[in-house]
Amino acid sequence: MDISKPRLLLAEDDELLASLLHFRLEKAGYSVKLANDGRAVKEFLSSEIPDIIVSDIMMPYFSGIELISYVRKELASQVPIIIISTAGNEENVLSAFELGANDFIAKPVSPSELLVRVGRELSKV
Amino acid sequence: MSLELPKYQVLPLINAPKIQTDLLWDLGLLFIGLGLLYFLSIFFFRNKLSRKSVSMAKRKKELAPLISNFLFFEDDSSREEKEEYLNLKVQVRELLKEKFNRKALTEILMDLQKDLSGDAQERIYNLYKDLGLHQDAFKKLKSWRWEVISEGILELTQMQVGEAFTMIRKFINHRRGVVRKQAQIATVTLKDEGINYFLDSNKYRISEWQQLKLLDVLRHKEDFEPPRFKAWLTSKNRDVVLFALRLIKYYKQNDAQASLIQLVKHKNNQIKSEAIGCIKEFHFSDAVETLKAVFWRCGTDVKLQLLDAIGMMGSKKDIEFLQSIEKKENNFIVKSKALSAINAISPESIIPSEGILETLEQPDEIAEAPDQQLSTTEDSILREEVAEEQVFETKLEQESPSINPTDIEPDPVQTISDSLDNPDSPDEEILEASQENSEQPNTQETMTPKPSNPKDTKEQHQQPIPDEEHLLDQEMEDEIIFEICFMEDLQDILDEADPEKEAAREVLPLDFLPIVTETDEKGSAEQEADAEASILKNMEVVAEIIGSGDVMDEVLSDEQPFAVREGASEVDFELDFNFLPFVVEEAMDLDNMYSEENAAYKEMEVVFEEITDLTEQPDESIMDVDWELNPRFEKEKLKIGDITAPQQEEDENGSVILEHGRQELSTFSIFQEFFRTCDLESKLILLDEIPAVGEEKELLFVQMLAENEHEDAQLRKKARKTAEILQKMLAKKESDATFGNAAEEEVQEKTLLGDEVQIVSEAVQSTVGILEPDFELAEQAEVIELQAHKEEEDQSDNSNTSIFESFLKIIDKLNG
Repeated sequence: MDISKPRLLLAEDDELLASLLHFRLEKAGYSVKLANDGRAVKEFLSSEIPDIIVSDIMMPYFSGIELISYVRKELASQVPIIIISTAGNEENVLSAFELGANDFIAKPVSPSELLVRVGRELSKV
Repeated sequence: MSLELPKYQVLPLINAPKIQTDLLWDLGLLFIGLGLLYFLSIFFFRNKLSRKSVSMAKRKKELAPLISNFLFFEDDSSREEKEEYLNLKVQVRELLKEKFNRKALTEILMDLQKDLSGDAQERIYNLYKDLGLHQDAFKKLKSWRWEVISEGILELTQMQVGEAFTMIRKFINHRRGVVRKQAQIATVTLKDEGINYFLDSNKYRISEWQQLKLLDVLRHKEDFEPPRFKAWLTSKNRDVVLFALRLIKYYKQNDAQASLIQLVKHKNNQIKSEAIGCIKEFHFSDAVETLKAVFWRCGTDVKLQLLDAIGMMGSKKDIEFLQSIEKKENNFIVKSKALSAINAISPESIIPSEGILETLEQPDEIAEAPDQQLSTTEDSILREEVAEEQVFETKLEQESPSINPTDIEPDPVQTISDSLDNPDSPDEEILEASQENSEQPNTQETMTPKPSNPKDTKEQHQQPIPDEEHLLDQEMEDEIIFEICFMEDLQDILDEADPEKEAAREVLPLDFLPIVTETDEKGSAEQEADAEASILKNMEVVAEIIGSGDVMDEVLSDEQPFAVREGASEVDFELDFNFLPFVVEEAMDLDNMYSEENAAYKEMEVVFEEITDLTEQPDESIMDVDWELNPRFEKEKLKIGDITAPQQEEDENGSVILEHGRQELSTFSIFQEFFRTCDLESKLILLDEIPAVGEEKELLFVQMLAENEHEDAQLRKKARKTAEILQKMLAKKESDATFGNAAEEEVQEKTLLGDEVQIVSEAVQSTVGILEPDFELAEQAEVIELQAHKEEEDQSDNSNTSIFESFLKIIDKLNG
């Protein structure tokens, strides 16, 4: 892992989308760690806190909401978190913001838009 | 020697069939083999599909990075990246030679186009075409299997292959619904003119869901220029017309006014409804007449829409039509909508009336009187009572059948004020009406407006006299009870009233009463009071029923005359009488009334006629029967002048009235109230108790109960028995009392001489005794008559002798 690159944790259960976004983010200069479910996310976070987290809100074992709560309360980390959710899932999005999510992006995802949002959040830190 | 026992042979009744065991074994093996084959085939195909799925997922996973590279390749990439891109392209071309890989790539791209948006999605579409994957979809369209065709249409639609439009549109009228629907959506999706083609050529029905899907497609089309959908309002396909109407409304195409108005007349309710919706949306006020024309031929839902549209676009000339709907329409929802439409056109023209409590306006004096110490709670209670009274009066007015609005009697308050304004205005008709009203058997009718039409009055005369059951009328009983309570309260208040405070014009606790003061001193104040009292005389007030004869006796026999409170205005009287349980008949000139000699005797004559009629029944107690049973005496009039300024003439009437009231009270049994509320068992128990405590009124009540066909048979039987017992007991009691009556009266009259109240009371009692069937007491009556004359001479100024006098006259007439 390149230390100079910003470290990004991508939590997405759809492997195809995750692979595509992974490719795009890597290509954009991020050091991306891919996690396909909540357990993998938790396992990764127990060992390392990335610079930014991009997480789907609906994941097996450990949802995006629980991930935010875990990061903010148990890990007491203020790492930027961007939530990916399907359109119309407003209730979960609001819950995510209440728990401390920094930004939100709706599916279908525009990779270009995601890059902009990630860059903006990292610039705030 | 040996005995041979008989041998029994078992004869089988049913012979077991021979079973071919070999055949059974063969069949068993066959079915087991088929079963195994079935399970093996399932196992095989399932594994095959699983393996295929796994290999597909594996292949997709392998190809995904390739796709990512292709998707995110930039022209401004570095040379190394460009070389890598070219290598990948060659690699992919090799992979595409295999059908399986093509399928995997197609699935990857189709999945990704769902998850990605923006420029990434455009790249996916381009890549799909670049790799030539759409050719596979075209091949699918040529398949003979409908599911493959549908799959091909879906693929081409999702990947936005515009070239497929001409191929796909052929399937718009496919016999398979799934293919047809896929083709319709594809046609509309792939090209802007697809909607035109679809609306022109569609022969089949378009479901609601399909319409929504098509509308959704159109909504999400970028830079879509919708055609003028009015072109399809003339389509022979009803669903095309309907869909066109919806599209017109959605895209706000308001250039089809005439067609839309015409479609309001369509026989299909959906089209009609959509057309009305469009008319409302575009506010085509020219359509109102058409809307009105079709109204009565529509269903409820369409009617509601029509009314909504009329309410929105209509003018005041349409209100009449809406009012006719409100009258003619049976459906209350439509009626309500019509009213709301009227209000929409002319706001606040229909005021809510349902469930609204009727209230009287609070008199100014109550609201403004500074010395009135009514609390808010008391005030609200007072208002409620007034409102209830008003509602009751309104109800009575409604119940009186042959009364036109001009016949409606004016409000009592208004009448009094009018009389005060015009004290000298005689009203012969009103006088007659009041006299006629005195014969009305029903108390309620006293309160109902009297018809001014003589014919009506005559009809009222001809009304049959109600039977005894009318006496038990519940409302009448309530009124009697109210009268009793009221008179008691009135007496208490008058007793407690301090003359000094009256002089200081302090308001009595019960300030709704006519404020009067005692005047012992003769002076200017008294003269003024007399003047006002004369005004009061002009007001004839009818007491519905004088419930408490005794209380009334006391009030009237009070030696101290009452005068009107000094300075009392007519507004005071308006206030006061509004709450009194009297009904003001009409204002009349008392002087004129009493100048006529017959006037004082009019009521007396009526009474006398009744009595003389009843004298023909020698077996009964004349007076008892007369007063108690004759319902024509249920209500009598009491002139307020009798209360304020007792006079000789009035006393004659008043005595009759008092006696009526007393008799009325005597007919009221407390058991009636119990019987009204309790159940059958309780009634039977009460009947057992009646003989122990009962009097004549109970006897009358029990007899009526026994004759009442509406009552329970058991109750009637019991009532008959009770009546018999009670009758015997009363007869015994009466006979005991008759013997000691004469001596007792003599002693009493000597003792009470000078006390006019008791004298009158005793005289009445003795007179009643004379009028009873025991005519042997005629001599005693003569003695009493002489005594009465003596009293009249001695106490000519005593108003209370009127009772005595009236009975003396009755006795005179009876004796000829």
